[in-house]
Amino acid sequence: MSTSVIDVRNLSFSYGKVEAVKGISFSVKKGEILGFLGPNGAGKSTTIKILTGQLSPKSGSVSLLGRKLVRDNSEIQGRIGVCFEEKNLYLDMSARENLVFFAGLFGIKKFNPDDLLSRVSLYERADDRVSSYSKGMRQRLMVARSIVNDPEILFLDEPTDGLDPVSSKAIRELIQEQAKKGTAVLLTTHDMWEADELSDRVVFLSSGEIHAMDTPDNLKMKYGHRIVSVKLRDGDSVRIESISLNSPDAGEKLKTIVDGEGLLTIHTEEASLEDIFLKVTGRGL
Amino acid sequence: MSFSRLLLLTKKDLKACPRSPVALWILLMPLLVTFFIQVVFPSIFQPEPVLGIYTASESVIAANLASIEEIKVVFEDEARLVDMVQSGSVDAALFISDTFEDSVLSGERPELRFMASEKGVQINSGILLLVVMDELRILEGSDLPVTVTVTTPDYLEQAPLAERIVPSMILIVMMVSGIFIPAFMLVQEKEQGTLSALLSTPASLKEVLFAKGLLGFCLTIPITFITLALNGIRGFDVFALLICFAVGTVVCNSVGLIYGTLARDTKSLYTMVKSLNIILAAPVLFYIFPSWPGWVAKIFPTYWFMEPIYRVAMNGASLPDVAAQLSLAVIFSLLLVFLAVHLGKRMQRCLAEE
Repeated sequence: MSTSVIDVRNLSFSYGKVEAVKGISFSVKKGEILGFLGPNGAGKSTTIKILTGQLSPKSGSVSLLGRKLVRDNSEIQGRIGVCFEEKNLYLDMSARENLVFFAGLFGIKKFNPDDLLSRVSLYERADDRVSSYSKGMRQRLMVARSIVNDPEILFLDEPTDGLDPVSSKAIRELIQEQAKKGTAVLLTTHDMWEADELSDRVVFLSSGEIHAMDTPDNLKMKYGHRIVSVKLRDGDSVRIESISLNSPDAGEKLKTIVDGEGLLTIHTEEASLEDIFLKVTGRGL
Repeated sequence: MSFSRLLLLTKKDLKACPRSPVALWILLMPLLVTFFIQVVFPSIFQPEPVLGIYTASESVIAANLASIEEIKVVFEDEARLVDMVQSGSVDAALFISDTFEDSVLSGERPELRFMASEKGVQINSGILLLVVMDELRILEGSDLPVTVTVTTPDYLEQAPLAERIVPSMILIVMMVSGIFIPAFMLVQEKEQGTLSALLSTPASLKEVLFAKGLLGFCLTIPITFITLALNGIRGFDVFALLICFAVGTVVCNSVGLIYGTLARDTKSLYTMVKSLNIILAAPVLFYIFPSWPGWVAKIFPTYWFMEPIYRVAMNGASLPDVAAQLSLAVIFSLLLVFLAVHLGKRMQRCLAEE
């Protein structure tokens, strides 16, 4: 039986009179990647700040690794990793110095950062000051820093936001590797494609409330339409026709088209998570 | 609290110091201030008036002047002495011709050439003139028509300006490095966002704050000792002074941490330091102007470690002599540490809510 390493029950938080998180509940299992999807102000970062001990919840309960979360709990802090949305590295230090310093804070003596630096493709620039790094390099270092202690839970707040495709891919691979090793990952992102690619389950968060929580495939099945789009030659013009796979005569219609001479292209059109998010929450990302 | 994490955090900041122009400025500024004061006002630190004498032959007056302990006498040839007066390396010069003393003894009124330096301290030239006149009176064998009694109100009145300025120097050093270093390092962590990163590790807020304080403590103590040595203050009870410095530095470090927790960024920290440090530095005025009512100085928390430091460094007091004042400073420092931690928690909450 796989047990939850993050267990959140009826969590609420407000900034003054503004309710940022409204009684949300969810859990994450060992080795699972949970994608937190929502627009700005949905409550994603606030939830991460509560789970990482930076904010105290107004109500509800949070338990990490089977222990109730309290602020300044160095035992739990030693077993989690956090990658912030804001780039907060020591710019006057090198990548190597940054990693060794943070490893030291986790009590890891004689830490060798070379392997980790290679994994994020920073080995060649390991001794250069971080101030000379590009945005993508800094973000890769941020992710590397969040796993220096080989955490059991990894919190990633928009880890690929604004990055080039190469850096984004490197970070996604690192997250998947970490999850395969058994780390539970809580990932917030605006990028629906990334969430679909990485997450075992996704949470749709809007205005501090959870509107849906399931695997991407189940959400697509539940809220999306299975459609086949065909492009046909119609005399001198081109006509596009959509056939719902849910309709009883879908097979017959497709057979007629395929057997005919006017078919140009044919492909399936699954609903994207973005479409489903819009449908479920009533607002876009 | 983990001691090894505390050291790691302090070591990181210590390594960052030489890379930060502001931190370097903070460390060098006290030494530069000392150097500046000594170069611009060299005579302040010159404890005794210097008289240059040129004599064409053996002179009783010159020999008598040279035997006075309170003044320093140098003998040079006429041309060199004129240069020395002009450059200010002597406060005044006396030129005694070979017939001068015989003329005085025979009742004549010969001319005596006395040259005062424009660059020296005026009072020193005056003192030297009076001393020379007195020697002439003795040579002539006449008595003073009056009896002069010199009195001073207390020990501070007796201290020369050079000694009275030392507390200001010490306080500048303690306030600049003791207050500004922890405050600046903490504000930098906030500005870079690295404070949140530190607090997401097993490092606690107290460890982060104490590490900044420890850095300020480790840098302030040696710089303060160096400042004392640069100002020619030696021969004190080192252990007693170390304790006084330690207490004073903890007070300054705590104030620095309070500034650091309250300031949003470096700009607001500068504003805070400029406005509030004037209040903290107020007690030094009472050392420079000892005629001002001393009880006013006691209102300021900095007085309670400045006075023990002054008494140990300048008057040779021992630790028991200053224990009472130092105890009050310890109470102040504990209150300030408590306040710094409380404000630190508030800062942590505000940062997370941003």
